[in-house]
Amino acid sequence: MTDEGSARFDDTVHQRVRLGILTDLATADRADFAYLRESLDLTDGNLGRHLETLYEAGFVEISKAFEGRRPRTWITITRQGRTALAQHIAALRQMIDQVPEA
Amino acid sequence: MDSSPLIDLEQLASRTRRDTSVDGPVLLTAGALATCTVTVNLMTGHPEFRDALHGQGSWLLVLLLPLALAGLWLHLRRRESRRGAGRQSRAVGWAAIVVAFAGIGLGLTVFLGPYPLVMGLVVLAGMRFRSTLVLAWGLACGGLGLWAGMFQFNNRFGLSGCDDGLGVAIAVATVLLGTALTLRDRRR
Repeated sequence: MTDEGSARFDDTVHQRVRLGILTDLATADRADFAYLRESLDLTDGNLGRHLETLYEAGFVEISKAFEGRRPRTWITITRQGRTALAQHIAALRQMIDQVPEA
Repeated sequence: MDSSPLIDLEQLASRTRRDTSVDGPVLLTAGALATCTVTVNLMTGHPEFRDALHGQGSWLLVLLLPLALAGLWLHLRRRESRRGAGRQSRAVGWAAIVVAFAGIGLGLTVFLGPYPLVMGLVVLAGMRFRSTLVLAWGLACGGLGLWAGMFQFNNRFGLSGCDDGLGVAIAVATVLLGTALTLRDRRR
């Protein structure tokens, strides 16, 4: 990866799990904690840490609600999160296209 | 362009898309509405001028439409809560409110037959929920339905039998496609 190429990648988005979380959320618009955990095959703690990073970057919103007596955490992607994901994927595509075929 | 990270993302997105797909419920609702409309039109029309696309059914459609959207909203809301993904119910809920308030204006579609209205909403659903199938189905059936409805209303081209057949065929085909997609969705 060239310095020029890697400079276009946002480290917050580039991490594999966070890229997966944003992809899931960009497709579903909103998902709960359990859905993301199952979909990405993560532990509670691991998912929680990645969500915190995305939340601090302003890429997701997290809301907690009670359904009956059960607490439920919903995660929604923000506009900023969508833009960051789209830019990252575009940069990834561009970089792959530049690699000469073997 | 084949690349592992992008393929992984595409597979992930594709699975989430399947979990949150609204193709079946949207087409099933549209098909049920169209079937009700054409059936009532055929049953209440003058015996000598049977018309599947115009008549009392179109007025019934204006009443049924917000109810059907409210039903669809409820179904999607429950499904989202059960599966833990998606938020399509919000757009459907707003559509139900807008359609309920615009009821009288929508009554004017009685002249055009039910399809511009029903399939217009299907097209909007296809655009909002990014479904090529729903969008294409709405455009094709809406176009055909509008064409048939307008020709029949003008009553100059003598296409009555063909238009009736077309009106019924679109309704039945939409119900069948909606049912097939809903069943496929449940089997997953």
